[in-house]
Amino acid sequence: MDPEVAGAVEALLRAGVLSPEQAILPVRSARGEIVSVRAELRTLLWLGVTLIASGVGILVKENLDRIGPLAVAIFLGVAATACLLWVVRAAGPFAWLDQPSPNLAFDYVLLLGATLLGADLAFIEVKFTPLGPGWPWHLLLASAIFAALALRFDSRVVFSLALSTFATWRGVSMGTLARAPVGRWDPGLLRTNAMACGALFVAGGYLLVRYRRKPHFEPVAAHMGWVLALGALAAGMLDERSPTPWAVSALALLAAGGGVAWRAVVARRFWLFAMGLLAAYAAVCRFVVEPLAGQTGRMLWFLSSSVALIVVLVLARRRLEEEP
Amino acid sequence: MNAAAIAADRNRCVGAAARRWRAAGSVGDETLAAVARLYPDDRVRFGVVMRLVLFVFALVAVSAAAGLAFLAVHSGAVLLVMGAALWAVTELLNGPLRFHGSGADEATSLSAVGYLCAGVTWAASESGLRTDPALVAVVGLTLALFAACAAARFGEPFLGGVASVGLAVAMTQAPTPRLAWLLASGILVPLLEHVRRSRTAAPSHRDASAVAIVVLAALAYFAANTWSVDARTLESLRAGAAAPCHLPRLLSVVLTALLPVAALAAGALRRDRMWLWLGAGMTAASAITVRHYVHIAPLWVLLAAAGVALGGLALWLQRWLDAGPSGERNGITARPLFGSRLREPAEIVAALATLAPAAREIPAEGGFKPGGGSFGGGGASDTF
Repeated sequence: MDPEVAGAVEALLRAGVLSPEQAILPVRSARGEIVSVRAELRTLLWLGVTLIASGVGILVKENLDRIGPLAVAIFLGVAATACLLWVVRAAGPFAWLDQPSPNLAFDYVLLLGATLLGADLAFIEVKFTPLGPGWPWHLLLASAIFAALALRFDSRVVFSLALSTFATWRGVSMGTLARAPVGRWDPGLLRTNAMACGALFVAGGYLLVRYRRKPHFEPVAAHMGWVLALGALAAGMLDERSPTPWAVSALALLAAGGGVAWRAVVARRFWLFAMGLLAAYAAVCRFVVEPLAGQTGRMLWFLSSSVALIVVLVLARRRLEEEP
Repeated sequence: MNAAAIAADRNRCVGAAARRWRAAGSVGDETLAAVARLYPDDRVRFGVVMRLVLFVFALVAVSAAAGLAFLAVHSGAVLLVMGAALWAVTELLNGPLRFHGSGADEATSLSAVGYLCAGVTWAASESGLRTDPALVAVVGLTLALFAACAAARFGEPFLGGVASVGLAVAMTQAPTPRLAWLLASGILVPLLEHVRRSRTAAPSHRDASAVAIVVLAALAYFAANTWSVDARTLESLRAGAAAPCHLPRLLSVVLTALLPVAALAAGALRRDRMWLWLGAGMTAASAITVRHYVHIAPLWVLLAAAGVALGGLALWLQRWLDAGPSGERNGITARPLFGSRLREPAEIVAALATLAPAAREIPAEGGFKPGGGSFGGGGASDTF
């Protein structure tokens, strides 16, 4: 119930700003006479997919000896095929632009089918090792299949899975980036892979928009790409054992973060702006804090720089206006 | 909140509703401009992202200022001074500077409550209050008191939740913590629900009440839950000797079964999404509790069956609602009314978090070993 909005709609109706037809739904919604549970139904469907995927994972793990690897592989394949066949039947014709889902379950059945298919590929690789030492290639194959499914059936969620699986093929995730200095990974190689993946995703996103081929997928590619690239540069800046001097990584982070923030303000893309600003600020802090020996100087820096940034952001709020 | 702030708050709601109508295509740009002209919002507000950025930078500034103050004066009294100073800064931001929903005012109000609470606790311990239960009770009560005052004064919804948590912390030190939680929730939830449905309360105060209700209802369910009773979760939180549990087990079983039904019924009958979400959460918790005691089937069967059941329920509900007159039943519809901009990013993040495969390792020495991949999401594993 929203009494202010209910009163405002009635006033706008009297003032002729809203027509009676335009006012019907807003006033009913504001008075609490109608409520949409679409978000709740979508959450139930997502939860259902997650539970089924978890159940299948546990089934395979706990009953492998009893069922046998061949039966498990066939079971996963049949389940994935059933989901994808339903999707093929329900889908509309292919188009390069944004398309509404044919029904509420469509995106989630597609997600379940893609997940089961990925699990099947991984299971076959682990148990039957058809690729031998080249086992990571199955991740690239899974990524390509996810991308094809995402493009055909216009699913940004499956497209994000395709990109994350591609990064996984290169050993990259935010978790491995964060743990690289203390883990079994080669931190330098991991960061190079992360930056390459990031650059590839950003460039891919640019091309999608440039050639109007699923341009609505671009935000997914750009956000994941910049997260990986900026994360890799930040990890390099903080890695004391890196052969590259930290100042080089910090300068690169400053340039990349500042560039992203600047471009994002112009394009009014606020998540990218926040990412770029925080990355650039972290790089500046690394340069300033390093020569400051005492705690007082460092505290003064953090206090003055944060307050200055807040003032600048508030003064620039006209440029930064997004919907509150 | 003063009269000007409340008026701006009401106009903010109308402006936000008009933007949703515009996004849904119900009205055009000229209507949106007319609404902005007729219902002007004079506060400095930002969207979700910029609020988060300003919140983070304001917290950095507050932490640095506190660090400087502690370097200058080695006394717990600094906490009280910091708390009072931050309260004054929030007054300044909310008053003459007209900040509300900017991120910065939210950070200073939260910090003010935190520092004042820590300061009072320091003063209490300095004045001879050394026993643990009393000290924990002081922490909880001061947190509840300052957060409630700040929520009323500054209209920050999340402070309603902080106040509820503070009250719950204090109640853990009561002689019968479980009954105290249930009693407090039983008294406060109807009162807060009255505020939430009041036409005279400011929208921010209604939102603060809603957040407080969610926290209190969740705590009440936890206090009534059978597993929680059997495990003596609340009683063991009492500092010093554990308190006895006075809630009969049979009553807890009944409440574990009935509270979700009551919340869902309240949500469906009053067309209230908050109670529907609460009911759904309680239902999930009760189902997990049943599984804890009754092993009716292997875990994978239950998970898969629950997944199929949830999917089936969602589709059945959609069809049932769509089949009603004008696609609705009792004022509940499965059609989108005015969409949320955050839905799709949230779905992508959730899918990546639960279903994306784990990254492979790149060994330091180079060269790959077969069989090192992993797959599965939502609890699935790569080991067989």
